[in-house]
Amino acid sequence: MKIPALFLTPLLALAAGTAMAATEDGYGYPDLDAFAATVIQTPDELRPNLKLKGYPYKLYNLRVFPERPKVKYMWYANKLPYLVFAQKGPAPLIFVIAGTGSSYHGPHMSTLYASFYKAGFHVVGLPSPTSLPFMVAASSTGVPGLLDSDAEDLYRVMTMAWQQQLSKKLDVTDFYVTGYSLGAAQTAYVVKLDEEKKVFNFKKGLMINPPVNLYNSALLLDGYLRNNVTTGDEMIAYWNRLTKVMGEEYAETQGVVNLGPDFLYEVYRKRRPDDENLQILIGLAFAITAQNMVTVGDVMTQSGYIVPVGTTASITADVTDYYIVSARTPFRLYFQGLLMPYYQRSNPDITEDDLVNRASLYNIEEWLRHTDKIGLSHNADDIIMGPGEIEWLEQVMGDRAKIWPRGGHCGNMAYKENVDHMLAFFGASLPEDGK
Amino acid sequence: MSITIRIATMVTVSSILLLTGCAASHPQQGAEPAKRQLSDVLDPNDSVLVKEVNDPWQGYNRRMYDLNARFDRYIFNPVAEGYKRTLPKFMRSGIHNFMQNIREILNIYNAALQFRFRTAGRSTGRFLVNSTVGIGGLLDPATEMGLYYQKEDFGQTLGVWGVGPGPYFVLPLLGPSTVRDAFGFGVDYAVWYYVDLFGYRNWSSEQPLIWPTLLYAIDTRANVNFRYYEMGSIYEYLYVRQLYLEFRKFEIER
Repeated sequence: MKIPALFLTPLLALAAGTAMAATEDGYGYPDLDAFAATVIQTPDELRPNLKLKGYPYKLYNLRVFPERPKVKYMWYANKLPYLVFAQKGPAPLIFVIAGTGSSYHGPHMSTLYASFYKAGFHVVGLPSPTSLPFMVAASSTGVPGLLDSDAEDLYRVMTMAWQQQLSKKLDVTDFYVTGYSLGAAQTAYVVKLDEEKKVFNFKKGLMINPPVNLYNSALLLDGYLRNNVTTGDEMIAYWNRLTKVMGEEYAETQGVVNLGPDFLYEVYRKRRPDDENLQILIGLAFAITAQNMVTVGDVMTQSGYIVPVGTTASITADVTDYYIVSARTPFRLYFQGLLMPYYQRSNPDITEDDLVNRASLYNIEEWLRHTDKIGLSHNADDIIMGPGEIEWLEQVMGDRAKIWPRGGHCGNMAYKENVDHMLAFFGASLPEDGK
Repeated sequence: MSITIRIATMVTVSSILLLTGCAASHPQQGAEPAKRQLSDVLDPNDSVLVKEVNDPWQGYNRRMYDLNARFDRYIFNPVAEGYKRTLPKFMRSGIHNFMQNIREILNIYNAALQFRFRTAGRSTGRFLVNSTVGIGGLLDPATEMGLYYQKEDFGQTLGVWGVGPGPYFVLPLLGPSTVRDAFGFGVDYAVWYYVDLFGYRNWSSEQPLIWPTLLYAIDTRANVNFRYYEMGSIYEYLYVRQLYLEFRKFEIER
């Protein structure tokens, strides 16, 4: 039975109310544990007014490698989509890089779009290099995951977008860049790359909840699913519980939902399941991304890892078997079975440690220590961080690091104080009247 | 023959032609087998959710899913977006309420056929309140009175009667469905057409339902926050199929 929104709203408020019981650290984000915060994110009433009037954005498409043959059965991914919010007059421009697997949309991207647009920026939202459209249209290798190489791909896209499509339309004073999750780690690499290439001369870049070591974070996320669910039968049992909830929530929205990992999150945001269920859910969302990466990466590089080399693909092909194999391939194997062999083909001496290092911030430690362009916003309880990683960031970034006491992974991004802090880093703020 | 019927016939015929276009993905002859295969990851006694789905016409379904995606990307969604950007909110919600209100007749008779008389009563109440106090359905005071909207259709009714979904079946333009739900849609359409509550057919004898139907379609699209091929997975077809089937199961069981 459908619960009328009328009943649900006070119920939710009640739930949020108990969660918001006064905390001693003076930080007003609800006292949720890290997994719940990651899934639930920020209750509406604790967000600043980020409502936008009308539709101030436009979707652009970029053909990044014109010489590349188009992939017929992925016709929708031959161009890279990106979203632009343009101010009327001269304004600073900020590039926003999405998190792992995400395209230019989703709740976190919406928070960033609305915050920066309302604070007076032109905003340009880019899909993550690990997302399907980016892997097909804009990745030079087809196997994203190394931060230096991903940053080069991103920088190419930024440069082309700016020179070919945006420079005529936007009056830009300064350039900035930010990103959350994996997009945050890429932010640092992009700003560093810009010091050589000097197309934008980025003034500042803010990392929001970056992994320090992508490989470590991915192993943690792999584990959230695969330590709790080991067989197909268990997965089906979990799925049945989940879909029961999901079906109810779907009916609740009258079909107004965004399918995908973000949809899964939306559903559990309203319920209060225990940590194991939350871990599985978070792991599942990541596994859908990893599944897509291993399949698309395999096809793009013709590695024959799960899809035999030279397989004739078509729009009508039954790919259920590949689905099953790739669903049971954790990110660890994407790295070891696909990414590593790809790089070893051109350089047999390259080791796993070299590549893990290139997928981490350790690789640019010296630069991070001394640059005053990069800032950090992170959470002490972020679930993608291994032991000591937050401390390492604090030590490297010094007073440019802001570590919030809680919020899980990106759960507090839309919280008022976080939005204010983020904008203040760029010397901006939301308009006073909140309109 | 009216234009509606002519279009429907054309679409049906072309879908049947497309049915012949099934295919599997074929490894090249003599190609090395993949490094990681089904037998490496799957215990033969274990079950797999995605294999339990009845989808014998996957070739056709995938082709139709793709055609729908193209139609949506290049025509349907841009029209709906334009509609959202040009028409002020109060006009759009007026149209939306109106469309929901005329659909209420389907909710009423289907809820009754499912012996869900409270739902039928609520939908009847909605229809009476919104058609009068709500100025012919342009406003929706019923929801504020606690009479919330619940969509019922003949596919659900059949499901409640114990009819299984049958094979998964992607309909032209309308998207994911099953044989049962597609049949149900036909019955609902016929009922709506012949009951003709508001006397549409008399408004104009030439093309009675084209414009209301188009507006209905645009309104529906504008209120569904879904875009094809934006889920971010190359396996979107399989995910959407699973979600659709689960969702229908839920609608029937609730």
